[in-house]
Amino acid sequence: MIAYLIRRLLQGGLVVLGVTVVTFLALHLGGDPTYLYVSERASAGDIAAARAALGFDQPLSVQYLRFLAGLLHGDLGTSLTYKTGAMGVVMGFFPATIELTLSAMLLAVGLSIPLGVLAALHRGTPLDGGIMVLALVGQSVPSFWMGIMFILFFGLGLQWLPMSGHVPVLAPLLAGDVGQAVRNLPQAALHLILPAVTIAFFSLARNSRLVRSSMLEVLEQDYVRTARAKGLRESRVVIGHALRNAWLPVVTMIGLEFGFLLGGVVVVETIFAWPGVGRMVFNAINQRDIPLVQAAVVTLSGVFVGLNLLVDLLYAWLDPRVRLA
Amino acid sequence: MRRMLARLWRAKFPIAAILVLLAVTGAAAFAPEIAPRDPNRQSIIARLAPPLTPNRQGRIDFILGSDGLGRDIASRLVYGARVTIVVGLAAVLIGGALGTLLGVLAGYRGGAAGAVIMRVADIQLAFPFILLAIMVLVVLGPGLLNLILVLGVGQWVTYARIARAQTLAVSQKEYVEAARAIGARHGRILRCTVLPNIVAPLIVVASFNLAGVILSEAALSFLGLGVPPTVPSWGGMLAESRDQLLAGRWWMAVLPGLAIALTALSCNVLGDWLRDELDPRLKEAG
Repeated sequence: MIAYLIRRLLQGGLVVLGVTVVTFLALHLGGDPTYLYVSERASAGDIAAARAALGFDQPLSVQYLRFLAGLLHGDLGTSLTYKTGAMGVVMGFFPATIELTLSAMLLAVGLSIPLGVLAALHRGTPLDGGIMVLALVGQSVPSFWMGIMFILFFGLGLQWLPMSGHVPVLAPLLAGDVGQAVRNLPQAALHLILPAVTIAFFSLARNSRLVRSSMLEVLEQDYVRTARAKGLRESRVVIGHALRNAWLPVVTMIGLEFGFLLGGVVVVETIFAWPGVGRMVFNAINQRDIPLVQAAVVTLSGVFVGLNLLVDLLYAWLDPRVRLA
Repeated sequence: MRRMLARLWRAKFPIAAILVLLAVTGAAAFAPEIAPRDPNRQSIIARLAPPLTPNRQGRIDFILGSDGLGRDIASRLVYGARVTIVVGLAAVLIGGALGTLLGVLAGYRGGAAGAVIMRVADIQLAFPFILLAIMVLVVLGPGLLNLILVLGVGQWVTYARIARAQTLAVSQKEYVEAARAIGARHGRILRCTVLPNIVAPLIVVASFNLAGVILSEAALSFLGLGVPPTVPSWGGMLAESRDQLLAGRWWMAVLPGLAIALTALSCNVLGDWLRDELDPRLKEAG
């Protein structure tokens, strides 16, 4: 396990390095990035001054090393709109995004497993067909459109749920105010429902298909037949013997899923006016606040790589075959 | 009865999917002939007309309603199909060609080049793609060509991984060895024995991928990183509908979204069917 851990950490480090190279180069794709930082009416002198101040007059390799050094100190430049450190601005928006993605994740995983198992057990019946049609539709509907439809239907039409806004739980918790966090909880949950379901839907659809096919494969195995032959109750066979082995592909998927969820937050947060990193990125795009976009992309990617590493380790712990291979 | 339902489910849906895709492609190709009006013609007095609203003469000007600038939604939907089809197909072609080339190379030659290719693929997979696309488009600026390039280059990993795995498997086959034994060049072996045998799974991936690209394009257009506002696109129409949502102008949001969802759904249904047809082994696993 230790050797595996070291190997994975090294690989993870390599990936993080790759991510920094790509985000760094992305900024230089269009040539001299100085023009992204100055106003359109800036004089040649202003541009040259800005270029020198931002370090864009240095060779690319020097700029990259500076970028890396800054990153290690949590410094990703200054936001053009907030006039403070871009990294700090991103961190300020992070708690709301964590609340949203975590709830969406729980929803997606929590529902996809029973749905997938149910479909696999009733293979070929209308129940299976219905769940699979739902899954296929879920994979084809753009999440932001689904969000808009939810707003129209549950918010505007039925007026059951709040259409936008956010009541913080994590932020007061992080500030040490537990009482406030608990008082906020009911309203926070109410505001969470629509955006969380919107983000979760795509993952839910894909994961239930995955759980279903994984379960179908496992249910044919000899040990499941043995378990049945021993006279175990069906629920025990399914949960204790089949599902335990069907877990594994699902666990890997969950890691990758976070990437989709993080990608989804940009649009969904915008629709629901959710004050997280996603909506911040949307606003930063419109204000052409490049350092802020870059900081958000680096941070979200870093979180994503870290989570995937965690999932891989979990995977190795669950299935010894992985770390021996 | 059950088996009949299953067959119906298998056969009817792909046909419907093909019809939908043909209709969308047809709309894109013959947009000027089909569209009832100029998609950019504004009419301030006819702003925000709900679908099927008669005008003073009792005629219906906008069958699917008009938007905030009084433009005809139906015409914009027809023209919007162009962006979806062009961007979708071009991006899948670019990604498919690039990915297949690199994947076959990595699988056939192996060695250091293969290892480097697969490592780069790992790095790209470790990135939430949409974030990378946002970053690149913000720097390069929005526009049709940039959108196609970003989406196309972003897809190569999907194809490269499958192409590599398939090439590895096919390279061990006797017929490849036979080709090698009679002294065929590498280029000929790849073209005549390897490629034809790995094409089927790649086509299946491409049809699922097309759905993914269409959804990504819509999301990027929605964020204002797609084609300019003067070019009608489904994602852009959804973005414009946001301001009218709370006023209850549902038609502006419902219709473009339906168009995106139906097109993507058709690609997914087609992919499901192709997978079952081309690779019967997968049929069993569902």
